[in-house]
Amino acid sequence: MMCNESQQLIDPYLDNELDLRSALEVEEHFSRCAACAAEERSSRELQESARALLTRYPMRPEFKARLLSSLNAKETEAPVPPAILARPRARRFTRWAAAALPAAAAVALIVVAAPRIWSRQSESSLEDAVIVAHVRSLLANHLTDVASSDQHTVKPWFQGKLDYSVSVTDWAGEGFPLVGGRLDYVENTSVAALVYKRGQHVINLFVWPNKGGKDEPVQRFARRGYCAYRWSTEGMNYWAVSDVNDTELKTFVELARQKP
Amino acid sequence: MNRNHGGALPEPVSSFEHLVLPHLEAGYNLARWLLRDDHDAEDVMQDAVVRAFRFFEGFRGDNPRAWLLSVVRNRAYTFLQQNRARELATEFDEELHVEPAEDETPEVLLLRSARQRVLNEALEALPIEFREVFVLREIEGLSYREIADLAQVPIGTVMSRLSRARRQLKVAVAKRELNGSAS
Repeated sequence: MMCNESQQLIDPYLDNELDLRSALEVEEHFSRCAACAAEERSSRELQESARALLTRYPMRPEFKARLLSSLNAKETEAPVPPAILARPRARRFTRWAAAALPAAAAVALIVVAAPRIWSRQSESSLEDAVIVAHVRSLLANHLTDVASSDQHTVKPWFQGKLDYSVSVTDWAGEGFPLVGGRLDYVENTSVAALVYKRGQHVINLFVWPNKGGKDEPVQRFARRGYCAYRWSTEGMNYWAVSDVNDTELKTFVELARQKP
Repeated sequence: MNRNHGGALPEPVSSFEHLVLPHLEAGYNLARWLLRDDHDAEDVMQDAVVRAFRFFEGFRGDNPRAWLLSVVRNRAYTFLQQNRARELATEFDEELHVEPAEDETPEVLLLRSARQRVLNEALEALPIEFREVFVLREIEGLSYREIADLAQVPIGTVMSRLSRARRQLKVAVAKRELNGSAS
């Protein structure tokens, strides 16, 4: 292999896009040609530092919640998603509205047909959705929006982001330290996620208003290796999800149920 | 998943939230890299998600992430054509500087890794077609085939753009680090 050919193949080699035979030929060339080998090394360094360091821009939690609630807009008489109305900048409103109005109307048409989200019938899907929200919090490197072990920091953070108040308690003394809070969504509705740790395990405690209003006893369910408990009390739904062992999660649930 | 009780709910709603919503973060990141502005990225993302929702019924593929990214990309290009057409025609310009965000005081900048800042700035300064393949490859981890489908160009073009992007970035990073240490 000559240098001009090898130069063409450095990138696909780096990206594992070459078949085995070409990869071996390229490596053989690198062993003989210091210039091409150096080129490959510097590209690899760039790749490694790009993967490690390039910014992954997160959505602002307020924007994410707005985005999801605009998908979930239930009222036909409000064809403009709330996100647009919330925009403080008039210039953007006009530009955006021109493009978005027909689309938003279509969304409204589709979602009016949706049943009440917390209805009994969608229980199994709700269980899925809560587990998915838990898994996503672990995968997406987005465990907390507000990282703090101080309940007096976490509680006020939710104010203005949710239209209900969430009580937050740190159980570090009992072995379940609070690590922060996150605005999450379950079936397109914004919910508060309180994040606790048990050793290396994460416990998500999801909290949102109980529209039905009736208290529900603790129920356990398990799915995909995750265990969850749910209950409703004083007008709020609580779902605790974790991969921690069942006994420990039960202890946590007892703590959460007895909280002030 | 099975929520289609009593015929009340069109199935796409449920599939959309399971298949597409988990990739919103990736979609937003791509929009932000293509547009280089938080507010514009939010506008485009909102637009893209509304459209994705609207056209989801027509989605038959097996890669919802690539599908959402292609919708985001499409909306981002449309937005640029309508609002900042000049950017779509820029040649690579070593001198193109991106203004640092206002809250980046010297103290904050010092705290951030210098290398990280240099890399981010160098990538931001690349023309969009190179920036795009680099972000899709190194941040989103897409294969050449997936990038080719998404950007609607031949695989060979993906390869040569990626190769040029890397060459330009190496030069730009070296230059910026040199300037940084000289000042």
